[in-house]
Amino acid sequence: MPRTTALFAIAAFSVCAIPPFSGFASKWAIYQSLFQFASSTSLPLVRAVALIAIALLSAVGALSVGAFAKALGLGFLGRARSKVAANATDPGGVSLIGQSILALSCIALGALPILIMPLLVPIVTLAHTPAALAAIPYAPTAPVLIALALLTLLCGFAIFARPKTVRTYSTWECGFGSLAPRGTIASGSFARGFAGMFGPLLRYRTEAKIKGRDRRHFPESMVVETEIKPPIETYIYAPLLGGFQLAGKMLTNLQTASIHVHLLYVFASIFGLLVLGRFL
Amino acid sequence: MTGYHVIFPIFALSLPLLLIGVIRKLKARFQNRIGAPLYQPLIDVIKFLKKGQVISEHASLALGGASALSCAVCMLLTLSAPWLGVAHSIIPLDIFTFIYLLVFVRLATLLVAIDPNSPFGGFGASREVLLSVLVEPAVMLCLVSLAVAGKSTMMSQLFSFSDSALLHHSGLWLLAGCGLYISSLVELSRMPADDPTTHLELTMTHEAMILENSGPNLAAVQYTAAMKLAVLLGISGQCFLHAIGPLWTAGAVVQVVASCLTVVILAGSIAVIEGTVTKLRWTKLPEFIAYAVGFGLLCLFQAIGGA
Repeated sequence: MPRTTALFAIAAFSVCAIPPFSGFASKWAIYQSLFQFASSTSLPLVRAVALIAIALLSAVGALSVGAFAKALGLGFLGRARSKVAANATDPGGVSLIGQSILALSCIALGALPILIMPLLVPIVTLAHTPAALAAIPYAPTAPVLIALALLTLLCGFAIFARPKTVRTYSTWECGFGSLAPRGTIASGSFARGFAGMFGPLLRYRTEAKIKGRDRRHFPESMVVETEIKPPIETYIYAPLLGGFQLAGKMLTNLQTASIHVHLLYVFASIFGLLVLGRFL
Repeated sequence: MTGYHVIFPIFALSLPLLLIGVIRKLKARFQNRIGAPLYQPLIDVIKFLKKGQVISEHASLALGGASALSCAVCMLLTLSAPWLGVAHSIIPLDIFTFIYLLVFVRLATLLVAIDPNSPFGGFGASREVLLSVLVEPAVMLCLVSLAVAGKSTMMSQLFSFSDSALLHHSGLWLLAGCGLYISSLVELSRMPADDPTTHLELTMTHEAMILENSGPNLAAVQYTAAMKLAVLLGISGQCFLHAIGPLWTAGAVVQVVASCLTVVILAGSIAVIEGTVTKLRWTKLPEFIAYAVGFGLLCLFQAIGGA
């Protein structure tokens, strides 16, 4: 799916706030307004909060880079991990047009935030900041982008045009021969390092079952299972969602699609209103 | 168009490879070897450019494209970031753009790692993501504290020996320098975090990610790494230099010479670390990065206290 991959890449770059794309423009505005706020206030505590917000935002940004490198890399690049994925093709014309419009606007808003930034300045500039955001020079402007494009072309030329021989060979697998698609990194194992380090927070658990008569030297079967139980999702979102779903199911029982029952509802509500009107 | 506009790019774009040469040479001396000449990395890159390429059957256009992009971004950074003590405004580079251009390079490297579908590349990418999440706040805190103290986010103004608001913040400069130095060791996959010369697949980070690159592609990747090293070390070196009061009033020539010397000395310090220290255990790394974050927080306290 070369076209969808390219368009998804643009979107992913934008989410990760990579400079010429729209995500960067918005993130830059958030950073700059927090910074303006921090340098204009004289209260040390408020300033500290603004600066720590900037630091946390940058950590979240790094996290989103990981997440979207995973989504783009594992989802679109490399080998297909299932037969269904191997047979996937680009969608037809109209939906590609839709995606292209979104991708183009990602680029346009990132390269020319002047189109929309003046509208946003009154919103993002926090109440105490006198300096307007529009006064700060925004770096990824057209000349910079042209310079970047030229440099990319130069490097691309050096990489793609120079080699006299290009040999295709299997990916390096320590000499075991080409590994099966299951042997490549999967989404769970990509997140493993992160999950392990924040294990207590995410309630991360791995369980390895190795079976066999001499299981240390000649394992016959190996199964490793991991489980992540993030507390917020597990104890707040899941019960909330479950509650809504349960309520929805119970409410559907009221919808019987029978004219008699609905007439009964109408009668009951009119009667109820009449009673209410009598007492109020 | 003066001579400066010709000489500076050539100098700035070739110094990074020389720095790698300095590191290798010093490391060799630590191991009682003579070592390759200082210009060997440059010769290596030229050699790789001339060689043929072996590409994985699973790799796509993203492999070469991403390395070309990250190389170009790094070239732009090398030319515009004030890592050599030269204040120029090719790009109005503010600290946020600076950090996110580095993020660009990281994302491109991650894609290069994942694209050929190698399990090693995947694990290297996974480790890189984790380290970057931990290191990013430290870099951001150091730079943004400087920016608050100097009341500007523009790098060319902060690192120009001219912002009088920053002159008396020697402590802040020093702390920011230390924080940036430690975090650049991690970001550059240098010794306590990752051994750039070993090829033990179980623990390596950066080398695992570039395992599938060869020929001109490898040249681009290595050149990118060298430029990233120069810029990151240069910025932390600039922090150290700005902590020295008398240098503020010295002439521009003295400042530039001092900057070049500092970068070379910092590269030497990396070689000393790599010659004397062993790689930290993976589980101990967050504690090491905590020092960088600690320096960042100290910077923050300095910044909210002063001005």
